[in-house]
Amino acid sequence: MSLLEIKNCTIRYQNGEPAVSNVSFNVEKGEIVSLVGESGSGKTTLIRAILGILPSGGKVTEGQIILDGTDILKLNDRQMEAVRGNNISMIFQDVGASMDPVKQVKSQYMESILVHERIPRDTCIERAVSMLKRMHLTDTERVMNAYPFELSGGMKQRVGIAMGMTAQPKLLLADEPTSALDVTIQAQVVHEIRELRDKYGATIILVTHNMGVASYLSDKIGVMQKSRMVEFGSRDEIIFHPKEQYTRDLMDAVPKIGGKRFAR
Amino acid sequence: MPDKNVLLMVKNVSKEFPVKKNKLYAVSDVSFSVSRGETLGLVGESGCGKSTLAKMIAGSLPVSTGSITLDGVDYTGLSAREFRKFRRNIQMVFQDPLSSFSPRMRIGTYLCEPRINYDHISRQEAMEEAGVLLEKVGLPVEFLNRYPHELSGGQLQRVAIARAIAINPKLLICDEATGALDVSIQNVIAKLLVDLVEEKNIGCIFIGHDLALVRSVTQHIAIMYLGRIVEYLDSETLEEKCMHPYTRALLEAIFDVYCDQNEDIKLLTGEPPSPLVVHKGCPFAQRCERCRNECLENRPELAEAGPNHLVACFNPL
Amino acid sequence: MKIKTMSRYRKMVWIRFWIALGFAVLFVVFALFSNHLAPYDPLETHYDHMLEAPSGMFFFGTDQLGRDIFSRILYGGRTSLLIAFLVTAIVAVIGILIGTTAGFLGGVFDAVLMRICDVLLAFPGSIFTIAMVSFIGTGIPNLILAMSITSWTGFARISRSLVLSIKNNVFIEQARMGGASNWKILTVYIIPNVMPSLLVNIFQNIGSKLLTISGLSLLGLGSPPPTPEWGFMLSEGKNFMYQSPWMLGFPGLVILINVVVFNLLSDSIQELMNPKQNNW
Repeated sequence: MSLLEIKNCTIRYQNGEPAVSNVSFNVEKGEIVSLVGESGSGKTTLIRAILGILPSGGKVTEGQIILDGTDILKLNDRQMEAVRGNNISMIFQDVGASMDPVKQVKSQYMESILVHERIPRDTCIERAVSMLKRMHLTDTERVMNAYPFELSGGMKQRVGIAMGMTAQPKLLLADEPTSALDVTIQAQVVHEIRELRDKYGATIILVTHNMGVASYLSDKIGVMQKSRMVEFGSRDEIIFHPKEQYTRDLMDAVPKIGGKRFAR
Repeated sequence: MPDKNVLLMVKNVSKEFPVKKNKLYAVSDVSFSVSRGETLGLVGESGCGKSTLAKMIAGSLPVSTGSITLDGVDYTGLSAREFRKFRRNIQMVFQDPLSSFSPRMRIGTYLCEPRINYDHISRQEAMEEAGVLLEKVGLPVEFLNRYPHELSGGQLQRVAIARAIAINPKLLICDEATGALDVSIQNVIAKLLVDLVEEKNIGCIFIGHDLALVRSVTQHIAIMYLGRIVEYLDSETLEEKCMHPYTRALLEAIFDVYCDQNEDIKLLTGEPPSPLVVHKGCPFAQRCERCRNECLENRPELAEAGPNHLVACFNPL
Repeated sequence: MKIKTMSRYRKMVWIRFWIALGFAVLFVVFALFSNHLAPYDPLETHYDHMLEAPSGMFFFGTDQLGRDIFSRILYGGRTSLLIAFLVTAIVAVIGILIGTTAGFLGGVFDAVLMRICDVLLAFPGSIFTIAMVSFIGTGIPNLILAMSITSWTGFARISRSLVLSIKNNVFIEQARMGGASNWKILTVYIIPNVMPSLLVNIFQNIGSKLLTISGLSLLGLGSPPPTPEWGFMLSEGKNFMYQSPWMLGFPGLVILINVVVFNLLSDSIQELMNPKQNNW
């Protein structure tokens, strides 16, 4: 059985044109699946629906989202809350912006753990520190006592991933986790995400517009265009043998070192 | 970089900002030139000083030391009044299309503004020209009556470019002008820019962080690190000829679409050091795997490494 | 124009806006044409109809001198609304001019102006107004003067902070590159963008000024006695509160409705002008 099955999902905002129409795909345990496409293609809407945090007015009007055998669309708010805490986590594009600017990382981190579990303070900190170490944030003391503005973008992003992974969710959703970062820092974060899967067996859905990152990380890739999933397949199929013209165009458009130049 | 056709000369330009009791060295001793019809790429990570440098060249920010000359005129010392007249020679296109537009100003008015302000032509005349300009950047004339939020990011960026070239500037600066756009739109804008620079024979500085994209629209690239240019070279042969370890690291950090998944990423450890501290040695030394004792003691100066190629490194690749 | 479905909530806001605007216009029309609409002269005394309850003859009853309360309220609107509008206009123009210039230019000019504002804001507004009026004397011009002096600071503060929030926008930088002078940047690029928020404040101010005027008149510091004025009518009515509650009730109700209408108007303007909800 797949860990996540999305079946004929259609999502609309205020009964307008669908933002996601009739999308289906499966995610197996321990896989990294990337959703790629241009802005407005519906990829972010889709993963927000999985976490049940669609902006107001947004609704899954048709289809099913089945996580580990349960259709999460049928859950009530309280049950969904529990799913969010224990089974699914999300990392946002700009973790810094989703952090409280006047609280130390330590207290925010603990809060995020204590919401779901009643455990002693010390255990809490232990867990946080070991997660931060896994993310290669070696100076854990400084990181834990820092305010968000004292950390660089790359460090905040890693703290965000660490926080998301602490509850050992079955599924990690990442919405453009490297897009706000510089290229060298992006490479570091991509490396951490890869390690999460290789070493700790995490299942990850990655939304990105960076085709290179998707190609490096993914086992499967879904290409979205104007609310539809135009192509879904294994990484090699999509990258090396795309069936759809749109996928081919998308790959061609990515600037490449040694690729074509406009300037003469 | 000797060239008879030189348009812009930047000589030993530095910028310091006072921060409490300290000084922040945003740009240190930068020199380069841009010829007519040439596009120079400025590449570096956030905080490397590329945007500060752009602002100084555009005249929005005074230089701390050094001189900038355009067509033989050093404009760093001009009075506010003189500079207002001079300003038309340098125009800029910014990263975020929506924030470069006043939300309550129609596209037509926006396009007319520079011509009316600098050349005092009538509104009607300016509006006719604006229509022509829109067609030049591939947009329908009807857009004159639209508001910014009714256009897409790519369309807005075209309008911004149209406005910049309306008064025939000598130099165009694009600060991450395609950074916020989707890849397919990015290419369209890049091509439009290249064509305009060629057709109008103006100089262009293209600032970006995506080395692959910058390479595709420029003739030369200057790589900046912590306020300094560490390498200057031809775009076309960037990959084969680059000698600075940082340039190499930037190249390796790009994920190629057709990459091999099993190959490990070559990671550059750490992050750029704080610009508040003055470094005795090479600013890149702490992150460099080719670092030697010399690198920690002395700062390498930009030196000729071949035709059109300068590099600041004691132990280049 | 693109046609999209308007959300139900937005429709409600529009309805609220039109109702509030309708009432506001109605009150202004009543005040302007009170001489045609009022059944009696507001100063005319009917000694045979003193303290009479509302009836077909006197809609809102009469006061202790037998004057028609309905007519007095209509005429009173002239005084109250005139003062409120005038004060708001004066205060808005002065405050916005000073505030935007201070925010835009910055430096010494800004510092000096804002310290003056601070000093004025340090006094409680209404008490300062009362002190001013008792110092320079009652009468409508003095009332307007006193209220203007004490309340332009609010507009100056708000417009200054609005300007500061958009001054460093990229489009201002681009306007400079397009050769726009300081004056042009202020009038063409900045003011149109801060105006919507200020408009909200302007309407809110009308409501609060109506209250201040009534309060001052109640204390006998407003318009001089024979002139009909809502607050003054309240002050007269309070002596006959138990015998003839209509003397107090109707002017009070009218003040209440007016204040609510102008506040509603400013509220709905604020919501309608919010660009983030621009989805109609």
